[in-house]
Amino acid sequence: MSDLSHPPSLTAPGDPAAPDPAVGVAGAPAAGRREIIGRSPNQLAWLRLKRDRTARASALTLAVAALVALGAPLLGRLSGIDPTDKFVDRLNDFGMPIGYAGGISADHWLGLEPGSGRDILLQLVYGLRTSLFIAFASALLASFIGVAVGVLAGWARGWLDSAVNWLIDLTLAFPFLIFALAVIPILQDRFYTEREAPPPAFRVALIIATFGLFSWTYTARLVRGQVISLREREFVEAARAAGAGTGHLLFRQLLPNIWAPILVTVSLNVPQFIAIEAALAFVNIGVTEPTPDLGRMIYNSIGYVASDPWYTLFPGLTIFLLVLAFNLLGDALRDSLDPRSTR
Amino acid sequence: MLRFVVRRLLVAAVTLAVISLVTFGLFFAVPSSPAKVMCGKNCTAADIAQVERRLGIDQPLPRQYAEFVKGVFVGRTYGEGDFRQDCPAPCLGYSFRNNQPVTSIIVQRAPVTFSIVLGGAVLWLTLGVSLGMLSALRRGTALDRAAIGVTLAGASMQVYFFGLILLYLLVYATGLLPFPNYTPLTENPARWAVGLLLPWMTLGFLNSALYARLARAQMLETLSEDFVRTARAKGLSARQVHTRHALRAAVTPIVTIAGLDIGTSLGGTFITETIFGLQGLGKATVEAVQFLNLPVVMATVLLAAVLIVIANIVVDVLYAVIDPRVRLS
Amino acid sequence: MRARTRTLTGVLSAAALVAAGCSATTDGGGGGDEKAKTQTGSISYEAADNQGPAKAVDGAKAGGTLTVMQNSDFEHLDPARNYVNVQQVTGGLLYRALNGYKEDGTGKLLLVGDLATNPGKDVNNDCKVWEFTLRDGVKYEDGSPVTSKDVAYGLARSFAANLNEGPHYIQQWLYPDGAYNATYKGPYDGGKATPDGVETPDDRTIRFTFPQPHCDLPYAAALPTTAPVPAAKDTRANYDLRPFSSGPYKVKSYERDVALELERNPNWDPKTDPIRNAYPDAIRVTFGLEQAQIAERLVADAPADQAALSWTDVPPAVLPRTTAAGVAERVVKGPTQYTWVLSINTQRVTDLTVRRALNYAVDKDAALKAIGGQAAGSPATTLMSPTTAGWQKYDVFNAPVTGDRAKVTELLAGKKPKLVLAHSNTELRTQQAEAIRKNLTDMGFDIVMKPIDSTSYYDEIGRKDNPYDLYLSGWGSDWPTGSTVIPPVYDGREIVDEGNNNVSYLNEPSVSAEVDRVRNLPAAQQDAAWMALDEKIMREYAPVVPCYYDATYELHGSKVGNAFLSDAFGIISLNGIHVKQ
Repeated sequence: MSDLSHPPSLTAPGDPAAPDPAVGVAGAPAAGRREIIGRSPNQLAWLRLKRDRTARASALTLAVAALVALGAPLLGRLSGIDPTDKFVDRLNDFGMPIGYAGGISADHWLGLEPGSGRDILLQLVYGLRTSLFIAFASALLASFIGVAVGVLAGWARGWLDSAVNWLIDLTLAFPFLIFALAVIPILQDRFYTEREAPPPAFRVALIIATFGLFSWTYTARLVRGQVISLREREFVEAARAAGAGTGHLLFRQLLPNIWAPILVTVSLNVPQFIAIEAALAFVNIGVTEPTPDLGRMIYNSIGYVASDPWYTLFPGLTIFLLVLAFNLLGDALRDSLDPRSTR
Repeated sequence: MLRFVVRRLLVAAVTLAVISLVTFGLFFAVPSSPAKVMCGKNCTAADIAQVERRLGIDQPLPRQYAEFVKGVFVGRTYGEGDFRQDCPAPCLGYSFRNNQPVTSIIVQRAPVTFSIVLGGAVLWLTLGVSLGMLSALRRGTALDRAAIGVTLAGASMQVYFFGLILLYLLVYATGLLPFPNYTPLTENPARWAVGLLLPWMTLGFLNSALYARLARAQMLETLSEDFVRTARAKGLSARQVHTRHALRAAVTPIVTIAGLDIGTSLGGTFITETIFGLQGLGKATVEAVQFLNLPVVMATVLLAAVLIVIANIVVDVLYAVIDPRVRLS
Repeated sequence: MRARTRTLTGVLSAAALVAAGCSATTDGGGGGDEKAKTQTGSISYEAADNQGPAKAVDGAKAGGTLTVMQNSDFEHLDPARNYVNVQQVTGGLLYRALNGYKEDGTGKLLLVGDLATNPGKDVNNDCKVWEFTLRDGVKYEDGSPVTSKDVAYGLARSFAANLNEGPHYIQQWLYPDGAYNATYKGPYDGGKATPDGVETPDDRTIRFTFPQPHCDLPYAAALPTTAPVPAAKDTRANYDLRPFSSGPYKVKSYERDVALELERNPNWDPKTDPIRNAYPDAIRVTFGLEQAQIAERLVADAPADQAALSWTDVPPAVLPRTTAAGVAERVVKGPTQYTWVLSINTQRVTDLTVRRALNYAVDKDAALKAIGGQAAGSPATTLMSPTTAGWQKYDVFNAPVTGDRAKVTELLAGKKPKLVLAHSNTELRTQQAEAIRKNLTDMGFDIVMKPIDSTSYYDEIGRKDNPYDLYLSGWGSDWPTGSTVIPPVYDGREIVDEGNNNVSYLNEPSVSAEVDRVRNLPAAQQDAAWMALDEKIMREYAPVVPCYYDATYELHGSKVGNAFLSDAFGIISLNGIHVKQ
């Protein structure tokens, strides 16, 4: 949705959400038809994905981003600059970087941040690290909760199912932003005394937890629908008849058949989290200084679009490309996993 | 149908009660005291105690919640002596910061958010659905690819970025549009529309991206369905097939998502309101949280929840209306 | 005056990806050097200064609507609760206090009688008994006359605990023992109508009798505390939304957090008013815009915004754009009465050597550049701001503006003090704190940053037992003499449990004794004595690191005439402003 009054209400095209999620996106028995060689649906999907040029390009972009993020300390070592280093002497009386294009120079390839005089390249690279980590961890957490709750509801049925449905409605109706605004300072004070600075990891963990807590509903509904439709299938019946326990049925029979839509959800959730993490800076509950963070950097830089456009450009472009690549990859992934896909 | 609605409403009431309890509890765990924030700088402990009494937050928590609920139904009085303030039913609380009952703040702010969201929704739905349909029908052409490109770019942009760029280009740099402001629709419809054009455009473009992709995917799916083939085979014109049959089937999931989206947004579009300097519910809520203005927080959170719950019910009912196969039970 | 609610909040602005970036940014930045201007404030009993009407402004015509764009709504407009400069300037259009400041934009600041015919008569020449005579013909918005009983009632209600947000000088002087309202609690719930020591022998005279001498009374009487409130019109808490007008304007509508609209008070007679020209027909104050939105709109100067101004400082991101032709001449900038200091909690940091080392260590340049460089202020070395009467520059440490590493190393002698730096969590304050953290870490301190919610920042650092060591705080005088800076901020006897202004918690008997000595000096010698005490505090105790003298940098539209910086309030004055037709 357009605003952050609520976490990603994942509305992936072609995946009609509630009340009754589409069934049979990756039906197990629907094996290869046109192929002469017998291939599993997963192999087919992988083949389709590999053939997709957009998917390859976006995957490459993301790989590069991940590599850069991981290699951030190396870059820091090579350039001899710490992301928090301030080159205030290279700012003018208004705090604007001296020189061309936002202070771009041999020492500072992407120039300096106005006001603080920090190196933009290093802030960006280290910030990417934080943002990607938060987005991935949140997506995984959300999916984990979603799968657990969804399987529980779909498998148990009865009152437990109703309770889970109600819980989903409750979560959807509860304003995420207000929760985050209120809870983050409370928890911080609970765990750290007034003279301790909470380590950056703590705030990051809080953000991830908040995202996870409010974004599992879509996955839960999806998984619940899948489980309900699969649990009566012959192969499950067969396993049950053979005396398999619940654990075996869930983990060996059901989950392998629903991982595909879950994967799509995760891949589409990540860009949403990147964007929302940036929006948290709006209400001052994002990642705190001095930990570099892409979201906060974007938020801080937007105001400079007229006075120092280069400062706005670099983080803005980075997040745009990142989100775009994730969206493209997510789309491609879904298409490739969809047996009806003819793309 | 009636039984369905009644049951959903009952469940909704429970949901709202839980949300109000959680919000209530949440703000009592907040480390800084609302009384301190309100009392300001030159405040002694006695002053703070007095403000707490005036706000009614010196009572134990369950008692306060009971007072709140009572206030909703029969109204209540805050403070004592010469400084008491009446808050008639339905009293969602009294904001001492603003010197007015919370209900009047809501009445003042809600139209702004509603105008932004409903106007934006009209734009994003028409734009999104028609673009999506068009690109589905012209599948594989340059038009389709262009539409996909634009929608992907749109879906990868954020309100805070796109909105600000629009603001600069259309307002600050060129002066083509006035800075957004809110004039009540009843006062002057033309000024209402002009003042909200920018937020509408922003929401319209960004959200239409999503709907275009959704509509395209749905259309493609329905176009390959048997009933569409049947309709074609019995000699209906392409237009009739597309609008009467295919679109109708494709529109169901769009309605679902649009309903929930609109319901969620009506509760407040904080970033949009902030970027365009509009005093809507979203901004009221966030400001209230920052000033620990609990009555306003409670009221806005509950309103947002009510809107989402209603949207859910409406979507389900609409679902049954659009798709005769769906039965409500 | 407590720190200005300078909401350094979100920078939320926009502008093009086009243009800019093609030319080199030079060291010059913006504008020339700011000349520190020293206050020439004085109290005038000259008939010419005290006589209405106010001198006409060249080329000014009455009419038009002036818009003031503000970031957030006023906290209070009720004269008993009004203590913030933007509120005082706005309130000054609605109600008249006994005294007021007469300014013409040339830097001449005169304290004259407003409701009163002159700034107050020191009856026995001992500063203990003061008498004011009200002007003839001053009327409220309903045409009824303003009486001295209403002034007394206005003062009386400011004792009420529910209306406690305003200044409490006169209240405290009337009841010097204990808290200002420990004895008298206002006229409500059966309290008596006037406090002790306030007499109104007739409808035009009001007399204050203080147990101790207070030569500053004429200044204190310029605060809204002495604005008249007719008992019959007192709506108590709701008075905040609609004060009963005795000034040139009255409230037309007030939608909280959205807009305040003022229209003319037809019963205001310019002949009774030496201070206000009141040219615009209407004044509209709008709330809820971000700092950057306001600045961008004023830079753009679209027709709808040409008769607008703002008291909000231009945020750093927009500053470079204000030097362009067509914009530069619409900038109103200059020093204010605020000094920002890095307060050292002397209860925790008891070692004077560490406090002195901090004074050598702080990079004032970096701290300033983080919030807009020279537009936000200039590096400070004294406690009082250059706008204070009798101010003299001194520098105890003579460190370069970016700090003196050698000296710090020498003083610390291998120690690495662990200090907690608390800061308000707004975007710019966070940036600034991070600049200080980095700078002090590099200098050999171990700094922990602790963000505090901006709404409770001053409450937290004002708690006597707060757990922090360093925090930035701003203080400005309530009137341009040292008596509202040194005693409230550096006298240990003022320390209470909560709500302290003395946030370094300096509690030195020698400072307190000196405060008493200076207070009892003849008025003419006090200014120099406060300045000497200022230097003594820094030299002997170093309880703070003076960081910068606050400056303001405001914009107005092209149709706003005679917009100048009020030296009394540090923001654009509205008294002589006009809308160009």
